[in-house]
Amino acid sequence: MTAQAIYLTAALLLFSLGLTALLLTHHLIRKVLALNVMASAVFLLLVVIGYRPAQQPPTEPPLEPARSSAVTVDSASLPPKDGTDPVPHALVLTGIVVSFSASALAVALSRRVHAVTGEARLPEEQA
Amino acid sequence: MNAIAAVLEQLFDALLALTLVLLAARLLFNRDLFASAVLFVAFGLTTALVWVRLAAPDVALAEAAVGAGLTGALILRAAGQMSEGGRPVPPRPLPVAAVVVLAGALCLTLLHTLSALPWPRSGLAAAVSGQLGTLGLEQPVTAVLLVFRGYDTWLELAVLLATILAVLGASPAADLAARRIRTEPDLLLATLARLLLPVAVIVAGYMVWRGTGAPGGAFQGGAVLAAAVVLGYLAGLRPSKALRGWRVRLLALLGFALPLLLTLPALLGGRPLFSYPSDAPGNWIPVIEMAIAASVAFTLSALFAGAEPAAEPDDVPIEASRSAPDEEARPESPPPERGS
Amino acid sequence: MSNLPAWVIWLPLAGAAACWLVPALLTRFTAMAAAALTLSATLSLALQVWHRGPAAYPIAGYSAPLGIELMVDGLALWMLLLSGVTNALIGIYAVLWFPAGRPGFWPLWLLLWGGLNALALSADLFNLYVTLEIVSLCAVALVTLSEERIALTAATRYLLAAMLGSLTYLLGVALVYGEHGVLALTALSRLEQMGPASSVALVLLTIGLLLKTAVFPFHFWLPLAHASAPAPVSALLSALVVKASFYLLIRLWLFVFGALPLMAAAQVLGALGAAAVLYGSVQALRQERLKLLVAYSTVAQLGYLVLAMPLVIGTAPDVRALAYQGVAYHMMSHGLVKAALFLAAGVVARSYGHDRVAELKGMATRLPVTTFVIALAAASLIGLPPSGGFVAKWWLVSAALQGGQLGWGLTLLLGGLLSALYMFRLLAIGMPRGRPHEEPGNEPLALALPAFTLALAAVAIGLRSVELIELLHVGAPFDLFGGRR
Repeated sequence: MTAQAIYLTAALLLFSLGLTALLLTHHLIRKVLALNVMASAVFLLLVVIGYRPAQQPPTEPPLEPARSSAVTVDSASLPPKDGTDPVPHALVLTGIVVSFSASALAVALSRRVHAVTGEARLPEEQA
Repeated sequence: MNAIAAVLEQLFDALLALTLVLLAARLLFNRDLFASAVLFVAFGLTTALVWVRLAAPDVALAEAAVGAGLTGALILRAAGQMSEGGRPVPPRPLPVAAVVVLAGALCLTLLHTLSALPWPRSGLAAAVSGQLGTLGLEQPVTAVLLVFRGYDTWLELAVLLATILAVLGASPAADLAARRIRTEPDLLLATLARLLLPVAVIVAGYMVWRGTGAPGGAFQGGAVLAAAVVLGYLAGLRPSKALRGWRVRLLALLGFALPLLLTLPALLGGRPLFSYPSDAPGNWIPVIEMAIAASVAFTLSALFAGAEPAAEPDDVPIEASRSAPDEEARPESPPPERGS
Repeated sequence: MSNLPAWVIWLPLAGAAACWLVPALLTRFTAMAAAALTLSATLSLALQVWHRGPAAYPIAGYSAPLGIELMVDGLALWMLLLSGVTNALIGIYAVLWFPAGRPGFWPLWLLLWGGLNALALSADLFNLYVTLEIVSLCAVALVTLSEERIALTAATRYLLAAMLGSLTYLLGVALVYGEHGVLALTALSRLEQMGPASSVALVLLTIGLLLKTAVFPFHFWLPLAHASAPAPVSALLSALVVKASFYLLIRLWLFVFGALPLMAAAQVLGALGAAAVLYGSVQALRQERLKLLVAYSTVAQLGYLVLAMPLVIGTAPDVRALAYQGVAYHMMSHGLVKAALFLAAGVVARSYGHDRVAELKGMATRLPVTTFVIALAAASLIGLPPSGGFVAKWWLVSAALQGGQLGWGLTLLLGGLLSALYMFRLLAIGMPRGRPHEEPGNEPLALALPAFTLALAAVAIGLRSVELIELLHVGAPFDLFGGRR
């Protein structure tokens, strides 16, 4: 098994575990925990997708290079260690902050719910 | 030799992945919520290790500071205050089975689909490296974050702004002052926090500054600073009196508003949104990163403090006012609906 | 390409920052100025696109796939126009609704508007995720402005559903990047072939968006969140926020993943839509409170949008064009109508001090303009001519008949009948019987006027559809009826 396969499997297991916990638990903080584990799983998947072991050079993307006038993409000019795709890393960095924002709001609302209702879970009732 | 190293490496990967999954399983299905919160911090740190292993040191730094550190602190705090009242609801077999089948099917489908993908995929690595030289930047992740996908980063700051507005409302200074995380300062912790804060400022500044050429950057630096401020909150330190009114709002807005203003000349001059004022973005990026780091540090730490329910207006003994609803709630809280 | 697409995003977001920073006295003034500028930028952009056709706007000059592009086409403008007109009128209402001392609404509202505009224009899968988060978090935050206690739990449930939706969406994004190595919608739409990973990705993206759109059976969070929010917020949520995620669904299915065989999947969506129409309408009939009635009506009306998917996907070109126009028209007409209805419900609640349907006897005498707004809105919801709702339903039913998909057509008609029932029940209670026992006169006209304008606009788009349809077809993936370019 390659490193990709190992971490890919781990990411998918994490997502499923998180989903199970999200749907089955009632405590609001547990739901936030579950959502955070699921977020980590998606981030892991993204980084695994961008990961390339050092010895394999990246294949040329079959797309026209950006900014027609600018430097054309030349894989020969790449530094040798530069196999890993930086775009997923940037996406994950953005994702971590976005996910933290949502979690912070969720925790704040959960604590308000707890302060107002005395319960750490949402009431079952529907309108 | 190489073969042995490869086997060892795989063994390490497998062990790390296994630890991650087991930690997740334990933290998600543990009886004790507080233990779950502690396990979550361990989970975050293990994830950071995985990032290092997968050649993503930037992500590792952010994960350690934000994922494990700040989210962990937030959840630990909440878990301590919101213990599970009564016994847990006994799980109903049918929904449990349905959810497990759903999650299992999802996992297997994805595994099947993804393992069929040819590795390694192309991605945009080559396109990024090709443009890096023209920017005056060495770090590809920084280039993607602040140049090629700078728009994402700016909108992400809008997400942070929305969150701070949601958590603290329109007057964050007044609201922050109303949150009392601790009434009596903890002397030991407070001293530690006071000592650590300047160190954190230096570390954060260094991380931001180095971010153009090495792992690190505005978000990681800001998060480190925020972690130090959170420690101060936990020690019972209060924000400075000078920090009130529009100054607080300005601090929270800096990272979002500076790119907004910097791009204004370009917009008025008919050049596209977020074209940097000069041709080499490398000159502007440190300024923008400093602004972002300051806003991120303030916002993340304020989000931590803001998660505390607002205390009663001044001079009410805070411990009493906070614990009162808890004590009332516990005996009153109805037994689990589908319990005994 | 001018910078108008950038201004449409820049102005509301800068306005949000500005109106948070200025002293509380100036907040509303700043917000209104930003709103006026944003609306005029939106209208100018619409004119420009109508005259000059679609265009891509590479942000910072870096075109896709390395950079992020905005896609300025008819469908995007459709969403921008809906968001512009509705937001502006809701904003005027909100000036009168919220007391001067509570400035919390304004920056969040402008952030939401900016997020909606950014979402409408974005042509990048991950950037769309960030815009979806702006929209969702602002929406949740706006619900918590309510003083009703139940709003807090409703907002929390909404947030958890939205977070699950985002993560499911993001998982889909990761799969797409894994298979194709690009995130730009334009690059994806040019692909001739898509593998199984893309199918799975589209399923995940769709589920995430259905959760955010509150399509049956993911509607569970909507009724209470929409009903317990302050009236202007309810209007924003029902008219725009749920539309935004549906808009993205349409864009992905029609513009991006066209290479996939989607017909069977579209039938599944159609079935969900049919269930939503029936369930939502029946629930709306049973509601005791006006705002809940309107919220369940939203559940039903969102069903129509999804119900139309099997008519748009994989059908003959003429059927497809009819259905596409029908969906777009329904989006716009329902957006205007639902905003009008929630604003009117706010006037009713202010005036009566409650919104219990059974106790609204004599509403027509006491609140004549508001009742007229509700009646106009009812006409469009039911689909009576000449309203926009009628035009939408006409096209959808014709598409179903021409395409030989009678079942969907019948469900559409049945849904119209059910909405007639729940709206007539409301109006029948409100109509005076015998001697009017309510005194007319104390109607807050300033509040009723924006609602009236919205309801009127919903009728107007039915009367004047040629130009709007021409705009819609700019840059459409299928070129029909002489759609420009």
